Amino acid sequence: MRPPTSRSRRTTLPVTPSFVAAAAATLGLAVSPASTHGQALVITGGIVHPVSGPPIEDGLVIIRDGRIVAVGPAATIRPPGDAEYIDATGKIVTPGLIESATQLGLVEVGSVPATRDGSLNEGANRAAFRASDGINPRSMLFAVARTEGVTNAISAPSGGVIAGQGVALTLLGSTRAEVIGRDPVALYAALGPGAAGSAGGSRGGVVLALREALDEAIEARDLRDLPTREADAGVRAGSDASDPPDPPDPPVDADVQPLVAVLDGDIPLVIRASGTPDIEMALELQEEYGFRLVIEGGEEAWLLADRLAERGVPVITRALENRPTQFDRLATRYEGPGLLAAAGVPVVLTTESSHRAGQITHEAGNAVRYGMDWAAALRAITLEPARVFGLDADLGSLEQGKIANLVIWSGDPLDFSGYAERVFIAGREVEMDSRQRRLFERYRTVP
Amino acid sequence: MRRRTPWPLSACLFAALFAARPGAGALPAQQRSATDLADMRQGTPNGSWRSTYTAPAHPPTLIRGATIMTAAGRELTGADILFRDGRIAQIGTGLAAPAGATVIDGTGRFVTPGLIDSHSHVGVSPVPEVPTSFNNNETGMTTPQVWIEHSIWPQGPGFVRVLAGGATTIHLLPGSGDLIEGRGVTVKPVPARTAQEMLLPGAPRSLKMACGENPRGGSDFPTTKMGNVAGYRGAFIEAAAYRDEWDGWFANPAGDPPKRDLGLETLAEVLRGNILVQWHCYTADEMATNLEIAKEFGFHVRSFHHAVEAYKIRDLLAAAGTSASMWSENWGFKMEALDGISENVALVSAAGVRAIVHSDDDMRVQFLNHEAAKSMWAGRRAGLDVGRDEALRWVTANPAWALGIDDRVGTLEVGKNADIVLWSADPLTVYAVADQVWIDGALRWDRTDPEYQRAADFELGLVERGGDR
Repeated sequence: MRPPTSRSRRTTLPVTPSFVAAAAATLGLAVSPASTHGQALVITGGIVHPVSGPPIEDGLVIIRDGRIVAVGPAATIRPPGDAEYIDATGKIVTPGLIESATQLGLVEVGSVPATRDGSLNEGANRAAFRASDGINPRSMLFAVARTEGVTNAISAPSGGVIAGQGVALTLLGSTRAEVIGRDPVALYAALGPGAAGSAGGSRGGVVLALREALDEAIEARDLRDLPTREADAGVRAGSDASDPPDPPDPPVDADVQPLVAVLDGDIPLVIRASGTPDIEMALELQEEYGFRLVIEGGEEAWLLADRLAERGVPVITRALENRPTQFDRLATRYEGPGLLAAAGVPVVLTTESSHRAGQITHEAGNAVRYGMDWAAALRAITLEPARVFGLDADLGSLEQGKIANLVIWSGDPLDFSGYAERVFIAGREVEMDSRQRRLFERYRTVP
Repeated sequence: MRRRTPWPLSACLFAALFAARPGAGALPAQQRSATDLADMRQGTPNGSWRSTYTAPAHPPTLIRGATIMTAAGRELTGADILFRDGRIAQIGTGLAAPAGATVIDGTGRFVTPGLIDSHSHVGVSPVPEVPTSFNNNETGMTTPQVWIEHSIWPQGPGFVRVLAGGATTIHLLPGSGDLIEGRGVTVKPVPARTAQEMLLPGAPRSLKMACGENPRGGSDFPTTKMGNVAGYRGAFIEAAAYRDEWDGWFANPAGDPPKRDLGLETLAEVLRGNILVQWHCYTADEMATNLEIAKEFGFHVRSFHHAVEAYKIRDLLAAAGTSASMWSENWGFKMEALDGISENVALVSAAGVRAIVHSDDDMRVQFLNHEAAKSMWAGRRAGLDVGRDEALRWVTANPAWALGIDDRVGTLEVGKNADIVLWSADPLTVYAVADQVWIDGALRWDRTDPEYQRAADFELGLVERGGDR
């Protein structure tokens, strides 16, 4: 039995005229009436960073029906006659930012257990646990993140050796269907001392648990593929085609199924690993079992930059950390992301935070401060995460045909002077409103 | 009473048997100097617990042609600053270099005062994070008898990172698990073997208090907000009686002094105004309540720390002359942090309160300039007119005031201590790094010279790093 791929191969967000109309009807406050169905929206005059290509001075972005219709220099594109115009002169236009390591929708208040749904607190293998099952589309955190320019996020479970399945989110909507995108988007595992607690107390125990799970998945996969292979073999041997029909699919344990999807290459296996021994172990496992590996954490990954680059293994990491906080990350340094990117490793930057997802621009800015190329840093919070999670057909860059998630910034988005002035998700302008904004408005004056 | 000393046992015996040296408490009145009495009052008798900090010898230093951000109301472009003998000697243009001076071309670069953090646990709750290293939180309802300076690990890997980030003065505080946590202390993040070698000489110590969820989070009293308040009031009633008894003796120091109580000694100094209150408190209602407690017992709250709802009662803080030490942005990790907004610092500052951007974190302390810039832009985005000098004061002059050291650090003014940072670019942008950092005129950090990037003992040989930290 194959894992259900119809959901896993679903596009990030169903952007259709009917969706946009439904969104307009249900979101009320969250969207403004701009860009009604069918009418084009044209953003002019700004410096456009498509990310997929070089920046465009006096760029033009045309949006219609939730998608990007055209991007290029103003001089080369003729906008449609019935369009609504937004003047972005002096501003910077980028794709919506993607925060890749969050529990958005799974937490409201950190210290209130009833609002925390990010972890299944039992066992080493929790692969069946799906982040999407706990997603709260009305999370108060979404508005804070999107008004700071973060339009999409990956929300992923934590804990154990195999934590469960992550989900891609669009940070605008009031129903689960509206915010939940590709699901599952990845399976999450961990190596190293942080995971040892649920695996007998040692690094080796963690590896053992992960191998056991992968071996079980191989068995399940082989069992699934067996009839097909026998049939193929039969045909080759010229045997009678009227052999007995395929036996029914054997049942597959819910904790095994997601690992079969990993072995099939349907979803990546994100392995949380900080130290070089654990990152090396992840590379060994990848070589042995063959899966799409992504390293998250990766504090010491810069010491293995060449090997990671050679294998094309992406690293999701922070740029605002330089302390030897644990014995498995003594070599943590600010220059890590820049060194990785320079070696050719696909780098994704993250805050590893949900409430502070908007600080992803500070992470990227600090990466630049310590040597990362500016364009690479912007890419690390837009197109690179989209690629790592297989969402780049729809997200991550300003290109014709992609979903119109974009931000108009007051200035350099990686510096503090650049803040999100206007944000568009699926072509709809986001109301710059949140619980936090309303608190400010309420206390704008005091007695 | 047995004295615990680091002396060999034989020396202890010798002292006990033959010296019969009276303790400070038993000295005849006529032998007590004013200094002796002040030391007794402060809980540092016999010259104990003194700073042994010294600045290395250094030549006069002249930085030329830089943008000088004074944090004292002026930002000068193409200007020079000269410091010598540990002090700022001149600020202006076309300054002459004294004989033997180190002259630095500051063209395109920026100079600020050394940054100051009013709330840090570097070296007391240090990395690597192992349970035996957590030395900043004692347990009990009130523990005014503890001093955070007795928990400092000078080899904590955090200190050199503080320095590399341009901070030259940090205030170490005990944690927030108790209503009254103990004494805080101001240190310089310099290479040292002992805690004493880091203490800023003459800086007043502080009292860390904590309200809200943390001290009432256990199973013992207090478990409610009202319990918290009863706890403080009970402690200060005792402290007032202790102070009265001792002040009576200090007025006429004849005969034996009253019996010492380590905790009440600290609280009595709070009541006398010699120890500054640093009060961990998140919510508006609890800050207002705590101002009433201060009124009841006649002490002053120097700064509320974290103060995520300070914006709601900024008028009360202004009236009380109490500063607020805040994060640039941080919210939602617990109920009392739910109403944190990014405009907090700018709103509080605009109300005439001494606004402070603090770290409470080994990471944020490394880029206090970033944190100030974030708050500045959050204010500007909301339409508040926040100036650059004002924003810089949030991490320099204002924390200096909260720590009672604004007479010597926190601004670039002639005569002040030469705690100076030379930045590669505008420090209110994300891209600036501290090229060089001087403390009391002595070079302590140089981004291009490994000699000034001294790793902590712990890190020696563990990591081949090279280049910037």
